[in-house]
Amino acid sequence: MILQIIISGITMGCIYAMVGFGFALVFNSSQIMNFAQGEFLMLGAMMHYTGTVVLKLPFIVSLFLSLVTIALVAVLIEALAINPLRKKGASIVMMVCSFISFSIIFKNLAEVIWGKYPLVIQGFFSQEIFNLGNSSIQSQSVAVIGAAVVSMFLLWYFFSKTMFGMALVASAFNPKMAHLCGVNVRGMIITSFILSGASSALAGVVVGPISFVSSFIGFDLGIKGFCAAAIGGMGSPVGAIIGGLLLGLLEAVLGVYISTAYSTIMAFIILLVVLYVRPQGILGVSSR
Amino acid sequence: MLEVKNIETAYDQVRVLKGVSMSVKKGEVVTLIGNNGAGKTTLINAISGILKPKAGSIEFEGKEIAKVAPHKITRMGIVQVPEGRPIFGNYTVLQNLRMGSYPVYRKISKDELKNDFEFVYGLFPEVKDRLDQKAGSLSGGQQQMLAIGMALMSHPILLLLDEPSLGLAPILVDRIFETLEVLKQKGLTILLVEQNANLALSFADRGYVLDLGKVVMEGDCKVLKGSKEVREAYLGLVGKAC
Repeated sequence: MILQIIISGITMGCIYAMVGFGFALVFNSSQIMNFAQGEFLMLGAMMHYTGTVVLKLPFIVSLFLSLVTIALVAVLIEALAINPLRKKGASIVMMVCSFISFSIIFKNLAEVIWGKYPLVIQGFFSQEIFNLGNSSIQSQSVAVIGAAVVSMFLLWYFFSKTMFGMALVASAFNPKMAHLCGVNVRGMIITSFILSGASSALAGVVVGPISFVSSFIGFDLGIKGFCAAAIGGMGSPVGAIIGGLLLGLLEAVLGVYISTAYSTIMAFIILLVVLYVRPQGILGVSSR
Repeated sequence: MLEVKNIETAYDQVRVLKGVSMSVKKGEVVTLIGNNGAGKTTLINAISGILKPKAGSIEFEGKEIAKVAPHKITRMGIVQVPEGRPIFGNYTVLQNLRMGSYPVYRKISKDELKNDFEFVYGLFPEVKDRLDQKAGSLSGGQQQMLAIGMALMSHPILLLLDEPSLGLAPILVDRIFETLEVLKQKGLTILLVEQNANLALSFADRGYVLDLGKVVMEGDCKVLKGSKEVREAYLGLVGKAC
């Protein structure tokens, strides 16, 4: 029983972490919270539904198409929601408003295209549940955890081992210096949108079989991802992972012993507690 | 090599540079001196492409660069060491040097890259001893050395230095300028912005005096150093013989 709770907690934690990671990436490169992040996840899941169910493409092809499409959507968002405002010298608050507008547009557009009712997508494994001791584990959990570990590893490798990744982080630290080191800072911002879009779309594809797919999962999971990023310390990718796992585990435990009805409320109470104790988040750097 | 013609810049509505022209020839060391607010930093930021001039032209090796993006200008070989603490504080010293090589690392061989590192280590042994330390934890002088080292890793054709002596103890200023002397002897073209006019005029071949966004004097450093106006306004030597 306890194993079952832990695994389901880690599973949802991985999803929150992947979305939170997207928040952290965009925040790092542009100092803006992308409230359309959750919609990337929702659109990723929807595209995968279209790919596998409507077009009957093989799983891998559909997954690939979904990641590429959402990465493009993310680039479009940067070009339409952020760059024009930045050029006009708009404040961060206005850019957040712009993101929120896009998030609502996406949600409603998805409702028009895919309908109001939850859709079912296939998991990675054909068998739905397997037994481990006396606990039964959802097989999709393995896919979720696997996807999270692989994508996190790739991103870690990219950021700490490649010159390109280092340059991306450097342009977030100090854009002027990055320019002077020959780094194309705008290109780096676009790259972080691509990575944040693709990682959230992957989260959508793997969470779909667990949560069902509908136009409103973007808001729900997006806001939890935001929570994860804020708990971990806005702008810290590792913090977002820790925040996500913490949130997933606490939610699973509280869900069993109190009620799942309180899960979103709990997420925000946890966020508030972390902010009261450590306003910069677990791994965040204090602005003072 | 560098030809700046009549450039004008403005922050909001305030004009900073009001038609500045200047040039730097290959192998030359040129200095810009002037008081705070004269527009020295603005001018080199315009050359680096960080700030786009409202009017005028900037030519580098025959190409117009006034509208070129800053990262492309760096890749063309105009490398700036900005004032203050121009390093990535969260990165280690080694990572900073690697960032310095960013504009060229794909174009050069591993051996060349290794030589670049050895060259910088030779100039600044202080930096070599602290490769794994966070750059933000270095002293001001060490940070300035690292910043110059990073610029050298970028294979500069024209090195722009903004106030390298700012906030440093005299002994460190000497240390920095000894190294710059080595680079000068090697034939590197340098444009130096300095508030310490005495130091700048002793080091450079030719100089421009900027005041309120205009070039008010220019010429050979020896001549500038001897002129009454410069001595009174910038060297703080009123009436004294040289």
